[in-house]
Parts: sequence; structure tokens; C-alpha cells
Amino acid sequence: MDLSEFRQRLSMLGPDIHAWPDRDAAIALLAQSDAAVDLLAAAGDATPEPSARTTDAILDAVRGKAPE
Amino acid sequence: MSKHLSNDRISPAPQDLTVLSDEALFGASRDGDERAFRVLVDRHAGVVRRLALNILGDAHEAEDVAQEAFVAAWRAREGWTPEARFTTWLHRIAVNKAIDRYRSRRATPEPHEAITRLAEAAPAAEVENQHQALERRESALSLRDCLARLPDSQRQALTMFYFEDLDVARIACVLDTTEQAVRSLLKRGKQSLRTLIQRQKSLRGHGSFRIPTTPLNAGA
Repeated sequence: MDLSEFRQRLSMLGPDIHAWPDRDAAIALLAQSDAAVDLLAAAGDATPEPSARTTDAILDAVRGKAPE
Repeated sequence: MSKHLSNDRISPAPQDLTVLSDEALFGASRDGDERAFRVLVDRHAGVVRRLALNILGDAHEAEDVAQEAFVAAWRAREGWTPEARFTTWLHRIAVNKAIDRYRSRRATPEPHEAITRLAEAAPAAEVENQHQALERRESALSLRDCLARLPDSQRQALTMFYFEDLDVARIACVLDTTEQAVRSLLKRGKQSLRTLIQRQKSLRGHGSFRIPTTPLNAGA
């Protein structure tokens, strides 16, 4: 799969690559191409802000605290 | 892309960190300003988690990937150069971690296979009578159904621990995560499994299996 095919799938099937019939090819492209990653990042619907709990969990992980 | 200011010369009051560019914030983070890193997490955790969800289709795993991506970014902060766009760098880290999980998931044998083997490994010649063998098979098949409903990460951890006899360190290696995260997955997985089993038992009105405390094939 090349970038133009990836863009086409994205517009036809939406960003849930795990549900694409040719997801393995899409994942192989994502592994190599920052442009594909940028397309995917821009393709989602408005992403909700993370909750304070999510942010705290991430910062705890950064500090090396054990998860709950 | 961020619409925030990119002027590194701004000397913000503490409450004004949110107006800084990603690159300025990460520069401050690199100098040890944890508040700046918190702003970055607030700003980007949603997209990072969604990228992982797009690839993996599992909300729990996407949360784990988001955590791992920010931990990796923090650890690699010394090597980041301001010439690189922060989001490109962060998204690349997250996507790579999600792809690693996707590939390790494919490399892990389907738990269905192991459990079906368990279900069918009840030969009549052994001490079990036919009734016990039937009950054992039914329990294993019910366990298989419950396991199939767990989030992928929990199912993988439980399968590797109980059916493939891998220890926590080895599972952490396969899943590319920490031993602590594996213990957390096992704990959450057992809790989820217990709930599903109880629900199934109450629907059927009987059932006798329980979550093992040691690997099922230990000593086999």
C-alpha cells in the first residue's frame, strides 16, 4: 500500500485501521511513513481532552509509580 | 498542529504555560519543568490514545500505549532536537508502540487453541468418568467464551501466564511493557474474568470452574 491508497482508504473506511480488510498493509506503511502517521492523526473526529485522571496516570507512569 | 505561540523568549507566569508551543514546552520539560510536561500530556494524550485505538481497536490497550509513549518521550527527552516537530516525534513513538503490540498479538497463539486443547484433553481412560469429562469440557469451553470477551491485552497476559506457563518477566518482554504493567493486566484480567464467569454461571444456573492460581499446565 502506498500513501495515496492509504489516503483513499482513510476517506472511504475511516480511521479505524484495525477494521480495514487490508490492515496489515496499512500497518506496514504506518511503520515506515511519518506522512501516513500525520494523515491518521488528522483523520479522527474531534478528540476529547484527556481527563485529569488520565493525565495523572500518565504522569505517575512517567515518575515510575506503580499502576493501581 | 498546535495553534499556540512558538516564541521561546516568552517568560510566562506559571498559569500561562498553555500558551507556549509544544517545542517550547518540551524544551522546558527537558530542563526539568514537570508542569510543562503536564501541559503537553493534557494537550496530546487524546490524539495519542486515539492513534493507538485506531490501530489496536482496544480501549484498554490504547490507554496503556498512551502511557508508554509519554514515558518513552520523557526518557528520550535529552535526545530530542528542537528542529523536529514535537507531534511528529510523539506520534511516531506511539504508533510504533501500537504496531509492536499489534504484531506481538499476531505472534501470540490464539487462546482459543490452547483452551480447546484443554477442553478436549479429557480422555476416558483416565480417572475421570464420563460425567466429569463432560463437565470439564463444558467448563473449559465456557472459560474460552469468557476469555474471548476480555480486552486483548488482558487476554494475552492471562493466556501466556496460565496456558503457556510464561513468567511475568517473559510476558513483559513479549508485550514490550513493564513487569508491573503485566501484574496489573493479570490482576485486572482475573477480575474481569471472574465477573464474566459469575454472570455466565448465573445465566446457566450451574458451573464449577474457578480461576486458577497457578499456570494450568504446571506440572503437566
